[in-house]
Amino acid sequence: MTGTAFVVLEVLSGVMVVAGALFVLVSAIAMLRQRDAFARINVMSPATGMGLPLIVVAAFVHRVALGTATVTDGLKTVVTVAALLVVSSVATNILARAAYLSGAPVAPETQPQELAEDPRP
Amino acid sequence: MIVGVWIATGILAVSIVLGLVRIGTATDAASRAVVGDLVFFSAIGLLVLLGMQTQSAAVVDAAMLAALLGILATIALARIITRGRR
Amino acid sequence: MRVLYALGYLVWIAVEVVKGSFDVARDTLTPGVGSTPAIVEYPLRCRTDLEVTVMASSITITPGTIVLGTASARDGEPPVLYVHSLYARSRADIIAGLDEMETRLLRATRGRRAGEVQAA
Repeated sequence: MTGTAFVVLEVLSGVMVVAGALFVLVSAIAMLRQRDAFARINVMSPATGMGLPLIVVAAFVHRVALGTATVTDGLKTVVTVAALLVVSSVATNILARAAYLSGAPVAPETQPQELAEDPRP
Repeated sequence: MIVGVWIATGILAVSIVLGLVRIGTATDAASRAVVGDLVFFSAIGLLVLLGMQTQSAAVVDAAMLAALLGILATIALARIITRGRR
Repeated sequence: MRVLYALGYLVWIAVEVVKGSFDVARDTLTPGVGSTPAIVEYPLRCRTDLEVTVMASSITITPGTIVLGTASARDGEPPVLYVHSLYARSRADIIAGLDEMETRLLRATRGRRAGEVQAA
């Protein structure tokens, strides 16, 4: 890939990695600022749903610009993004349930709190 | 845009440091587990950025495997904070 | 045309993830705590394991809402999800958002008419 296309793709991948990293940073700052474990689990999603997919796709765009990308690379990128979205959300469900079972304190501001009334799960 | 990769590497490094600070200051095990998860995902991001710097093809596979198997680390943490109870 | 509904659902989820990420970013980067946490009980219209799993994963991947636990269907009662929400203004807002997601999901799994069926 040469000339204008190379520059456009390289700038695009540069912008995407920085944007992706910023979303991970947002999650990290939110971890410091939120009040209980459940709110912290909640603010993981910007990192796993938006930040990391952006970085992974940017790496593929970078390889396209260099001319080293293959169809297999593209498929692996799709699988990685799908795994980040699906696998991480299943993992988060498990962690959230474990957090509640372990008796992690719920912030008193939580209103309504309907899990306390009917502890079925 | 190698400048972008360097900036992003710095931002992810800051995220990991903030995460470690949070692990140190957290009061309940569940919060520590979540932040540990975030540190793991930041590390995947660093791995991908490293691959962009060195133009290594193996990093694509490494990132894919880390994303697919990351659930095992989370499940282990979940079992630890409930002390083995499911 | 369920394939089209499924694709539409994926696009809708992607848009929701982007919108939610910016909501979290806005609250995190401005001073003061803007979150209004709540845990609500949400009886599902979904019935099969696939529907319940996709619904739970979709809720969790959307920034601002996670699933804390599920109660499976029993004695004619529908399966129930316990949802933790961070930024909704009221209980009704949370339920309305989940309801829209579920309607779109059921259209993809059962066809257009099924999306409109009421809770049992």
